[in-house]
Amino acid sequence: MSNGGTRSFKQMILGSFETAGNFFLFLVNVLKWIFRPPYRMRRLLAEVEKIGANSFPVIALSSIAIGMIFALQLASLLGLFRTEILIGAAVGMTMTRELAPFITAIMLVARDGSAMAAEIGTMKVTEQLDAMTTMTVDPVHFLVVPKVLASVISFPLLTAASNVLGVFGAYVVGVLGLGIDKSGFFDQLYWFVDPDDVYTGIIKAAVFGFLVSVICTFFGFHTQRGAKAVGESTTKAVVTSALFIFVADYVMTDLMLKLVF
Amino acid sequence: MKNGYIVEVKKLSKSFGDNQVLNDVSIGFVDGEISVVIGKSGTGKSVLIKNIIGILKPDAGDILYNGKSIYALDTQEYTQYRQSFGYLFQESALFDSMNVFDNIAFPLVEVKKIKDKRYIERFVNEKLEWVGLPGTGKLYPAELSGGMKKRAALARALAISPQILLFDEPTTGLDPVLSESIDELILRVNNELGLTCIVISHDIPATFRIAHKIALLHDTRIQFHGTPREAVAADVPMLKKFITNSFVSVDEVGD
Ligand SMILES: Nc1ncnc2c1ncn2[C@@H]1O[C@H](COP(=O)(O)OP(=O)(O)O)[C@@H](O)[C@H]1O
Ligand SMILES: [Mg+2]
Repeated sequence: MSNGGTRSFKQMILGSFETAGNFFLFLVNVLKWIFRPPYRMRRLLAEVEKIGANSFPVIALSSIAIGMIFALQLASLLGLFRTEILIGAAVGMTMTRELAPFITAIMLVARDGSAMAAEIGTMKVTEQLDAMTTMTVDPVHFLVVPKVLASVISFPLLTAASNVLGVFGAYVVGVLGLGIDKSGFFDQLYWFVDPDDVYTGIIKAAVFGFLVSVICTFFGFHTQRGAKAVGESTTKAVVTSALFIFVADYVMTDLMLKLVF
Repeated sequence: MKNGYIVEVKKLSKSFGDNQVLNDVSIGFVDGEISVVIGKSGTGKSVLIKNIIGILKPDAGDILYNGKSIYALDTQEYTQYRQSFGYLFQESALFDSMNVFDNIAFPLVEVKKIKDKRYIERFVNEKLEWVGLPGTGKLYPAELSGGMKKRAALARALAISPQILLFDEPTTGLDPVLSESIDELILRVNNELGLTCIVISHDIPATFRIAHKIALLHDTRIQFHGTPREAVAADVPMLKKFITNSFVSVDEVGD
């Protein structure tokens, strides 16, 4: 029994090396096809609509909610020092630098990353990918490239919206709810939040978009045979994407704090 | 093209882990004929044609196309090689995010790079009519019955203008009447369009209706390969079992 345990542990380690190797090959393949014609604009726009436009309500709701919750928490904290006027600035800074790209990415993983893995996984299991290959159309080129480009476009756009809506949430709680002075709220917001805060957050979002779309389509592509396999690869895609968002966020935050701020 | 073989498989072996599926398989497919490969479920019939089309790579062996090894082709030649095949997958493999029209237009738009919308429309509607599915272009694969899916998939396979059609169990899961109509289509593809057909089947009566050549894949090897007449007379136990179990007598088999 213990023998079996060590073997399966060894297999697990070997398995993750294999997965990492396959992922690297997949990544190279994606990068190769991104720059090759034909550029399928219509497919790209369809994906932008699916990932970008259709996700807007979810992103909007969660951003407003986070802005409101954050404002409530800050009100009790800043109230100790009679500095509630800073609520807008504090929410604005955290949203632009950190929370907006993060929340957007996590929500999009749940909504669109899982859908990417499931769509491609189903196509794999039902041999639609093979059908494409035999017709000499590369599935990475046809299916993955539009999703990756659409993600790199949509994640930053939705993050920008999330910034505005998060501050709106703080405004609702702070100005409308707690009666903070409106012009003070905005003065402090403009004073503290720099363009640097905004664009570093947008860059993070673009990187998250790339990572999430490549990871999720990768797990779709590597779906095993059998009926349960699509569910399994969808789960793996979501969990792995979330982990990579954390890691990438930490690394980028560290870099940006050293280089930009 | 010696022996008239358009495609020839030579000493091909393929395993998945410990599971040896094909062992030293050699078989030739004559240009312009219908060859039917029969064998029990799970013997590697699909694996054989997937090696031919190149979705799977053999562990050993060679595949010749018009006498030339496909592994010696450059990228462009290999692409042309693939485009000379139409492949009808066992589960049809229609793109379920596209309607029937777009499925059939796919090879025209994405492979042949045709831009003329009116030409595409005429072409697709012609093909739909040819396979007996007129007016179904707007339907999605999920809205089609099993038999309709096979027909739509055949229309898509024909749209690439292949020389060889691969049919993976075209009638499995269909009722006898539908099966017969699909067999009719295979015969028409062969007669009217002059295409070489490689058909995988375990429907023995249908095999004898359509085949010029029959091959039996059993226990990792080709155990028999010959005409239907030779098949009935052959002294191959597994083949006998297949035939007697499906009640075909010598008298029923023509030339
Ligand atoms: N991609 C694959 N990976 C692992 N095993 C496979 C794969 N494709 C087929 N097999 C195995 O090869 C054997 C033959 O399968 P197949 O060719 O589909 O049989 P059939 O004769 O019914 O078409 C089966 O045991 C199957 O499990
Ligand atoms: Mg099969």
